[in-house]
Amino acid sequence: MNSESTSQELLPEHAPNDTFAPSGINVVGIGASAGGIRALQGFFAHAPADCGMAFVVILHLSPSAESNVAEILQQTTAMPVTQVTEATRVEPNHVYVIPPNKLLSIQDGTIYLQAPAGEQVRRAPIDLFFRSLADSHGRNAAAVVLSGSGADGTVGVQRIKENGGAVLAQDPHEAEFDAMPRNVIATGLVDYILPVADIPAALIEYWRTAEAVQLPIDTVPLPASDDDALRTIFTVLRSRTGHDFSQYKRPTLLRRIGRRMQVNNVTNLAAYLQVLRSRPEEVQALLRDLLISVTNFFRDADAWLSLTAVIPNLFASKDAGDQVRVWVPACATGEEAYTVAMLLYEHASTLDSAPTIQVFATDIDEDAINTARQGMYPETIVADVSAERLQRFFMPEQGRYRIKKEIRDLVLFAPHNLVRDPPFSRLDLITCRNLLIYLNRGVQAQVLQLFHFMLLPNGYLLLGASESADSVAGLFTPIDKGARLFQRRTAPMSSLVTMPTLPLVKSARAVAPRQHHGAEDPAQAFADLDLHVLARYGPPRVIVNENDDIVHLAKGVGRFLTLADGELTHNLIKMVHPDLRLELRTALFTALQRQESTETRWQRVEIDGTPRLVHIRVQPIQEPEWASGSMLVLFDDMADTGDVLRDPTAHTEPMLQQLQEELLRTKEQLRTTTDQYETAVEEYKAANEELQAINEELRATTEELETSKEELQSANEELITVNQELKHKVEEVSQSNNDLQNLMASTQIATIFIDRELRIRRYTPSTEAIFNLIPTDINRPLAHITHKTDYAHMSDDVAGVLRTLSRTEREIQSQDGHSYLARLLPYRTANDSIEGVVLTFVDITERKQAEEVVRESEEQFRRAIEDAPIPIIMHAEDGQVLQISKSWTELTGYRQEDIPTFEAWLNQAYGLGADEVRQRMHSLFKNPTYTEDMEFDIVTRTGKHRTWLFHASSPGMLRDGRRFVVGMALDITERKRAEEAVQRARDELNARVQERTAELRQANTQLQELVRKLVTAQEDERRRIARELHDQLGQQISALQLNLAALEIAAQSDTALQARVEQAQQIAAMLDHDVDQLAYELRPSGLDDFGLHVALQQHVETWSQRHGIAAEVQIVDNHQRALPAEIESVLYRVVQEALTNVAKHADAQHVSVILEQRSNEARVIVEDDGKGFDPGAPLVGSTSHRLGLSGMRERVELVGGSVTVESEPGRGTTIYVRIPLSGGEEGRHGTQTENSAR
Amino acid sequence: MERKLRILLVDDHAIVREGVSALINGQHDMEVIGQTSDGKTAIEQVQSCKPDIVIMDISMPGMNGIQLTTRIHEMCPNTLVLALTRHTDSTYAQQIIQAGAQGYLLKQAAAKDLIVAIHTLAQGGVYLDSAVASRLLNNGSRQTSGAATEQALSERETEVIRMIALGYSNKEIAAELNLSIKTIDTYKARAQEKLQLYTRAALVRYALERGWLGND
Repeated sequence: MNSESTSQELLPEHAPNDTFAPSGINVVGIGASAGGIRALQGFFAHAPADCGMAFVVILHLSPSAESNVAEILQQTTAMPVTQVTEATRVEPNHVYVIPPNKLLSIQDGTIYLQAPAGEQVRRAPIDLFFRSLADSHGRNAAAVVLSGSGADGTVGVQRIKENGGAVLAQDPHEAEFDAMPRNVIATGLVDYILPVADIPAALIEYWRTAEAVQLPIDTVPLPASDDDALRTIFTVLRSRTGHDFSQYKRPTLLRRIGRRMQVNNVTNLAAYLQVLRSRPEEVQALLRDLLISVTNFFRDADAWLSLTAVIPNLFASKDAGDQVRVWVPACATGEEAYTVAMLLYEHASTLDSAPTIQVFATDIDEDAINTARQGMYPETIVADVSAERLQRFFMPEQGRYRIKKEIRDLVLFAPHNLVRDPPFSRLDLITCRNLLIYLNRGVQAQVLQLFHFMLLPNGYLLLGASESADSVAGLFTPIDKGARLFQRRTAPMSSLVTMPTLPLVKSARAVAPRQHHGAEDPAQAFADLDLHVLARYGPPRVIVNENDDIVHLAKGVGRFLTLADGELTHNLIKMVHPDLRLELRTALFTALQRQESTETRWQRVEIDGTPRLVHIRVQPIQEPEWASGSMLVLFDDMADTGDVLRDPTAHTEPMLQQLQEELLRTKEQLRTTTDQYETAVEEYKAANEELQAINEELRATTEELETSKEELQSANEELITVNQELKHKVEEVSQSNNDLQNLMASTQIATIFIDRELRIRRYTPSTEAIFNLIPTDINRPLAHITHKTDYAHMSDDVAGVLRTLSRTEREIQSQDGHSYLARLLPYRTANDSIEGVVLTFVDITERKQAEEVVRESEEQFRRAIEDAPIPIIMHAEDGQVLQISKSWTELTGYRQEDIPTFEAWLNQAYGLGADEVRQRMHSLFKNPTYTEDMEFDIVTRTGKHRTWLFHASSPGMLRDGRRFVVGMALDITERKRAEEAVQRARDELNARVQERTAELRQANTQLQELVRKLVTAQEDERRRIARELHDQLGQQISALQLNLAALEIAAQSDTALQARVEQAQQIAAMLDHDVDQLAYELRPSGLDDFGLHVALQQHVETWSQRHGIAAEVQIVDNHQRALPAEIESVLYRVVQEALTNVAKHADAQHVSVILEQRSNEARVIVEDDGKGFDPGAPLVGSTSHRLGLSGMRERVELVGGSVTVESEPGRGTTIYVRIPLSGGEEGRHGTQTENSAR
Repeated sequence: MERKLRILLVDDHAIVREGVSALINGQHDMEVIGQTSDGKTAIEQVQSCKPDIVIMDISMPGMNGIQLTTRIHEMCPNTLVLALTRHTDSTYAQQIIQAGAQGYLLKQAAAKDLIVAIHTLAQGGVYLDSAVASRLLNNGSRQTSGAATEQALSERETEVIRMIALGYSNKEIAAELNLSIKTIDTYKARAQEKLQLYTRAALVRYALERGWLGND
């Protein structure tokens, strides 16, 4: 049984607990999407920590990102919040949150995780959870839908509601995204619409009421007070809505009513009745709850699989003209009907000549039928319908899916009450799922009998998972017991199938067998006994209804009844002993009419072969009210002793005889009348059946009309579209008309349109320059219009064009000197008929003038060449000489006729050199951008040699397409000779100058080498003297001083001597200082001992101290390599000199000395902030300054370096010294060696 | 009677040795116990006589004073060394003191200050000639970069300062940046104001600190 195996299809009967008060944990599923976090925070902020519920939060989370919803919610509630990561047992006062990229389901109090099967399922996690929540927890479940977009949850809440749970939605006005709450509210199933903050309190109140509600669901019979209240509730429902639920299963009804009681916070039926009476909308709400029946597409896949297997049988032996007829009673919102239709359609599309498919889908809920007709379903159906079918049978529309027309057209929807309205007949298949479970067993059987009656032989019946056809054993054969699929078994037609008379609705014949009511009442046990006694000892009796049909037979009455031939009937009159028939009919009639007891006379009747006297009493029944209209018929009999007929009052006589005869006649008449009456009744019945059939047809017709209306609407849509397009076309035409108008106005070409009668139809404004036209001239004949040209035969030409249909062109002159090209063309319409002539006048004055100018310039050109003072030749590519200038002839002696071709000229003038010229000419024509200056020696006619400088331009084009070249020559014979003489003189001079220069260069090199040696020698000498001074003289002076000091001590007593010694000491100190200074200036010992860096720093320091000018040295040496000694000396001296200059002239505050050693260069920069000077100024003033500079320059240039000075009055002076370093790898030692080697 | 200070003289100029020994021997608390003109003999004498103080010249043929001081310091760390020289360069002083000498006296001032210098050393002090000392101190007091008060330089200012530090003349910078010399001057002045660095040397140091002057 698949309700166990799938656990998805648990129906109310199978809900976990059957007492009303909920047991177990109340689980609240909360669905939210966009904007949900804030709503959830609001929700939990108002949920007390001991509320006793478990909350499961389902959100639409990004599948890839981590979720910290649990942490966020934990901040708002004292309840533990857990993100579900494994199968988790729910506990009260806990909050569970869905993790990303997972689906949750719940079963028996445990939450399970599932991986989403695909993209489609991911969209509806709320629906999936709600469904499992509904199936597993039934009345202990509640669904809360908060802010979000989309329709997730819409399907799920239906299941919650169906299984008795509560549905709550956030007030859409409050929600950040209201689509989700709105969609849920639109189902009409929401119990509470509240702001988020009020939802927890409402839930608490709802469960609290549930505990208090007292409903004896399984108590049979009901306590009297509840029974009355319930019956009144049915009455209220019937009177307000027309639906009678008294035949529905009591426990189901009570559970649903109980839920409404919870919602309304009342605890007993009587109180609820009050609510029902005081609030009309509650009646509707109760009706909705009672009618709720939810289906999905392909709900219960196994059943549909079984059905799919038998579908081919439905189509078997049917042809294109036939119909496959299916009835889906209780179709609700159509999912089941469409499912059947899809399956049938899928099979039909595999057949060549498929019969048409007709699915009748009916329900008593008109709202549901309307929804079904629309065929629009929330996108969450993707969880039920395979992607393939979704694509084939549905169209996405505004975030929802609409069933395609091909399926929609297969299904006819109609409101229909299964037990009241006439059924559909000749059916191949009935699917009636989850309807019977709501009905009493008796009614179930009747419905099944009806189905049996309406199905074709071997037709199929599909029932719901917990329904069966067992109550009508023998009518159906199970095909698939698990799937509840049955096949009609051919069984004797039951004449009892009179289903449409069952009183589910107020009806004139609202009488139903209610005998059991009394028996159900335990308080009436004696009444029961009384009835029992009565049944056994009471007179033979029958109870009939107002149609005289027997509804009850008592014991012993059988002997008065007979079974007639023909159709079995209930009718008492037909069944009663024929001899009693007339009397009984009269008595029944009278009793019914008068509502009083009526008796017949004693009647002699032969019963079981014995003559008996029978007496009948008919008693109309008034009490109880529901039985009114029925009659009790009592039979009484006794043995015929003949006494009665021998009644003294009945003494025979002719009078009696006469009366008896009359009576016989009357009886005969009456029999005739009775026969006629019965025929009439039969006819009425037939007519009634016919009317029922017509009714069915009308219903179908209405459906068709509905469809036609839809088609008309779509046709209307199309018309609107076409109209729109037409409008657009008109706009386009108007646009092109405008364009044409503008073109006409702007064109410079005078144009006139003339019709076949030679009348003017239209003209362009520029025409007015030629013709005396004004706008009113339109439609006047062309001949009437004067013009300013010499075009006399215009009218003839126009007529000619019309006749020959060929174009005509003429060049005409206007009076004001303009020339026009008049062109006459036939006016052809789009369908190639000639409607007139088009005249155009193109102003060609300028062209004519241009032609004249060209002619003149050609003449001028010719003359220019001819009279040019230099020799010019013009020849074509093929060699023809076109023209030569006069001076050509003068210089060469050749006339043009002597050299008709260039070849002739070449041969005569160039001799052996002709080949080269020919080649050059060839390349000139080959490469048109190339021009050529060529020097040639030519021979004149008289044999003289001359030198020509010949220039050829790039080729031009003759009118006949040949290319030509203009060649110009300069006679440079004389110039050439003079140039040669000059060149010779110059060469001689050059040779001499070079000779001298080489000598000088050599001397110069020697000189430089000498200077260099001199400088080196000087430095060496200085070094030597400085050493000498330091080592000899200095030491001696030191010794002298020491001796003087010793002397001073010795001469302490002699003051005169002491004074002399002191004087000598002062002289020695001065001498000492001078020697020191001299040695230092000659060559500081540090330069040799510690190198340039130290020496420079030392020098700058000393200089700074001596002159009181702030000075600093910065050395940048990334290579740490010593410089050649020579260069170190130069740099040191340069700095020394520069500083000397600064001290003498600059009046500076600060001096910077930078030494930078690079791999290929050494640099020294000396910068001061003194008064500066203008380097461009002439040499005035302090010439020594300049001398200092030139001294530096000499030193630096000696080692190949350079000195740059930047200065400006008032802005200081900067001296840049650069000395290139050769190689860069040599150390100081190598350089020294090299130096000495020079 | 306390022991006289025992002094060894090392100088290649005999005349100076005589003058010095005359001066020392004239004192009652010190005496010259040996004289030599070269380092080699000096080492032998230091080993044999263990003088209290060695007075030595720096420039000598063969082993110079700095090398000699290093050897003496290695052999007899207790022997004090007083350099007596004519070199006024502070570099000499720096080097010989690093080698282990306790005093540096210029011969120019010997007549006046020799006895004081010897006494200073004998009492465990260090003697530096006043002229040399002031130079040594000057070496450490350079203008530091104005980094502390530095304002952010504009891109152009940075470029100009960098090229100045790299040794380009204003004219070259102007040509390189396609600007007038005046503009370069303005950038330079503005940058110097921001950096509070007014000399070229300071600018070069600034550039060095920022690693602008790489290998060429």
